[in-house]
Amino acid sequence: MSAQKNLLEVKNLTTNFYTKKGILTAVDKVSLSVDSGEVLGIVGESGSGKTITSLSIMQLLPVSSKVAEGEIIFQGENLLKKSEEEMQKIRGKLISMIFQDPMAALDPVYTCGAQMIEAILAHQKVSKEEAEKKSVDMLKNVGIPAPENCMKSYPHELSGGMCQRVMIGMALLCNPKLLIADEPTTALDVTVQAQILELLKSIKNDRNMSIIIITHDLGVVSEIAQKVAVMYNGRIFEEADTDTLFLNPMHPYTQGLIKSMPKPNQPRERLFTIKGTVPSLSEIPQGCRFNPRCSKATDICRTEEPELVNAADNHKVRCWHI
Amino acid sequence: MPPITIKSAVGIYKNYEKGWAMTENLLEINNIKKYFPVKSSMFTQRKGYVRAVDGVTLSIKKGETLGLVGESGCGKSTLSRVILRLIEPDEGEILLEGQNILNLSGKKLRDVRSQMQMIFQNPFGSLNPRMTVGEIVRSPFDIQNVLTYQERMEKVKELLGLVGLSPKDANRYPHEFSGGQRQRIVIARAIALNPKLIICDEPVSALDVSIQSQILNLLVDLQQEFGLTYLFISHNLSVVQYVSDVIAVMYLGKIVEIADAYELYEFPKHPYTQALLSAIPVIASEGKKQRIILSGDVPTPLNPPEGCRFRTRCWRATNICKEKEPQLTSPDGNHLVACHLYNS
Repeated sequence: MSAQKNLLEVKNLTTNFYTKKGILTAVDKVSLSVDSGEVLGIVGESGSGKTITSLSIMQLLPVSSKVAEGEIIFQGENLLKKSEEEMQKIRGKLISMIFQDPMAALDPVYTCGAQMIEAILAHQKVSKEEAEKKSVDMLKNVGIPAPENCMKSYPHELSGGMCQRVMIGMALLCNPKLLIADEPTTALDVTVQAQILELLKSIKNDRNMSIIIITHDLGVVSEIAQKVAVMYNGRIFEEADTDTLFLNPMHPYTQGLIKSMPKPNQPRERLFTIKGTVPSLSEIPQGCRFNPRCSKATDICRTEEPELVNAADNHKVRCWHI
Repeated sequence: MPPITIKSAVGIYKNYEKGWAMTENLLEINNIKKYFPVKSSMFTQRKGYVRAVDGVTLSIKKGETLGLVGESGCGKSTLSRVILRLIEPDEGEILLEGQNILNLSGKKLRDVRSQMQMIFQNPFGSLNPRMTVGEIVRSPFDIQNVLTYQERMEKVKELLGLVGLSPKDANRYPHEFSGGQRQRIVIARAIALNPKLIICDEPVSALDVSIQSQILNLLVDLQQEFGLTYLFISHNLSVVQYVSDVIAVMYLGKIVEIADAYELYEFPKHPYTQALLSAIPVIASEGKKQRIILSGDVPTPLNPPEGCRFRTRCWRATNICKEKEPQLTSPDGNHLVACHLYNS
């Protein structure tokens, strides 16, 4: 398989929510790109628009919202121009998604096996027996000890880590080119989280698959991603290679996030804090969206919003002070 | 002796400051057991017991923070509720300043309960949506029936100020606040009666990263100002390490290791602690380290493995681990560990 440039390219994506309070822009002119075999991390706090970005790509947005502008180009085709029928053929086959809470994402009234077989039959012309065999193989691949038993189990009979493995297995059944993982380890314990991250890494290497991982945990991103985008209030604030971003963060928000994390065995000083809270979408501040919480804010930050510019090679920052 | 770093130097200084209080235990728990009976169906007899807390012994010194770490289902929340007597234990003693609170009832129990407060994980669930913030923070005084109405209202304003909210917020309702602010309200309510012990059950897990550090700083500030003692429960090891003086690691209802926070992080002894520490995802600038990946999940506490409970996932398990359950012993000084590797 030849390495293909830009498997997915999101250009100027704007997603609006139409509410009683008016139009709220959850994702505002976001541009991203993922090469094949690459892992992109999207980091942000709640309300930063990271999940809505991923749902826009999958076109699984809630009814009250709509993509207002932009292009989502996947393998050279604009997904926004596809009909629902065409999208159904893409979802699960070419792009798969795993969600935060595996217990809620699996259907409680069907066995894991039935759900996996259904996923195969929806996309591939194979017999039911073959589909079953494929499912068992897949469960083995994602590290489930007794796959035959697991096929017959209902989701509630499995632990959280097991359910997440089943979800990952189900997402990989049709060899997707792109896997979108929305907080895949947030609901899990640290030791199980480590297992799942290892699993995602090895799958990615085996299949040359691309992954978009969405999380609020900087540690998780730095473990697995090659490229990171930091989102805040619907905008990308900083984008760079993982190592560059963590060693040399340029945006005051990114710097603050990294500094405010307690590190193992650091001297017990006061933790660095970013003052205030994330503003809600209905009251986005004027100028730079981070300015009320920023220690470096000056007059220009309060009046004019900065553009996302190249500060260095492969390092984009949205800040007046660089 | 660990090398003296800024951290340990701060610890020594803190101990010096505390002086005599160092030696006094505020809370002592002896051999607490809590088994929950499980029935397989309506008509059959008991199928067995979930051994949620199985013989835990702990003590917390005045003004210190004990961190309790463990994966979900290890019994840490059950233990915290047993200490408050929200759940009655099956066996054991709980001594608060030398008084066994398990024998108390009625008025005496209520008095003791005012000394122990709790901060819950989810500030969206622990505040009554139909009460104003003022009423919520005032409720401890109402329940204990102390102070006049005027004094209570004054106190509420003072408490809101202490946790970084404005006195005007007393007339607003919880839904008007963000997660971090709600956790501040919960904290104001918890410190209202000047308690001696506060149990923090995952106080920052539901909060955003940039808000977590604000709440942690607030907890540390309040501790210094009022000499509070915390039992701090979390699954986030970096957070526990930051706030705690002593850390206890729990696995399947048992304590497997207790040590000074610095010591535990630098020199973890129990294989489980080692794996837990190595599983913390670190950001790149801190350097990569050797990762121990545990296989499998935590076994069900309904039927824990015989011998050492961790042996099914332990990469250093030997025959003796199958046969004998290791006891919590101290190979050196104050570092207690329950593992046959150190029982020579």
